[in-house]
Amino acid sequence: MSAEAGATRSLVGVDRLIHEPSRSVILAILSVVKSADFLYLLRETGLTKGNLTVHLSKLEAAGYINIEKTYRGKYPLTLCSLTEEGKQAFENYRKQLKLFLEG
Amino acid sequence: MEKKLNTSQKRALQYWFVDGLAELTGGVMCIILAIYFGIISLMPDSGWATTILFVIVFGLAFITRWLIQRIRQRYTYPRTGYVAPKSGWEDRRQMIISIVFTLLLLLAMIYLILTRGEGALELTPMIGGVILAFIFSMAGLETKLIRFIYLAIFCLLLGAVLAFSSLSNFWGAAILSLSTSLVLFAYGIITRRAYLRQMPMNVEAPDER
Repeated sequence: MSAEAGATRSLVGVDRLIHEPSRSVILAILSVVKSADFLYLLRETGLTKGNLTVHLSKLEAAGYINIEKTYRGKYPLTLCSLTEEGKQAFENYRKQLKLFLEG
Repeated sequence: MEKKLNTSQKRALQYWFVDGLAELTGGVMCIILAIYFGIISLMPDSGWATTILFVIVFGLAFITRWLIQRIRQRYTYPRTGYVAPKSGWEDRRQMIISIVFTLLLLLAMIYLILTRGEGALELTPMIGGVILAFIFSMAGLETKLIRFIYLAIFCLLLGAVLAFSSLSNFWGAAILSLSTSLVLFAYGIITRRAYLRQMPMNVEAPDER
């Protein structure tokens, strides 16, 4: 198998759930911090509240992130953090993406 | 895509330095240290007073930290949101570097005490400069903020100059702490002004989930 074919195969095999740009940005952020709240992710992704909620729900359903709902004073606070499974999945995704770009 | 992911990660790592409060806290801590070293220089033989002073300094540092946390809750979180950083123990690489640095520093200090005796105390400002340089360079490398690398170089050079000056060891440490605090205050004020100008307060409820 040529390097080009290997690179193409690596792209074909990427996790589609993570490959969506907004979701990959969410995972990229959560991979370097302990947790981030809804407002921070909203600002960083530039999504609407509704869209961000949908993306977070999909990642949570896949077991990639934990969502903890709490309060800070009278305001609701939603904290998101990466699970071990999410960490592995995101690392694999970055490797595959790198392989494709280098191939 | 790869670039966008890297940028997002970098911004998340820089979160704690986005509002300038970290630098202002550091500035207050350094000024407290400078006062501590200054007072020790003025009354070197009063052991009990030094102990009380040490407790007061720690108490002040604790209050400052608490106060800054309250300011952050009121002004930063509603603007930027909240990010909890990974602790030093969770970051394996950072932990290993810190342990290696501490061991090397201890070995160097033991060597200096064995070879120079009490003369080793004259090098207090240099050791202080090395410790501050290490802290700032770690922060700079972790967050990719070049201003911390400049600050690390500044501390290293100033510590060396003060160690070889005619000043006593504690006066040298006081001047090093005071100078570092002034630079930190300058960084903090510039960053904070830019932050408040660029980030409007979020008037809506921060969360709708």
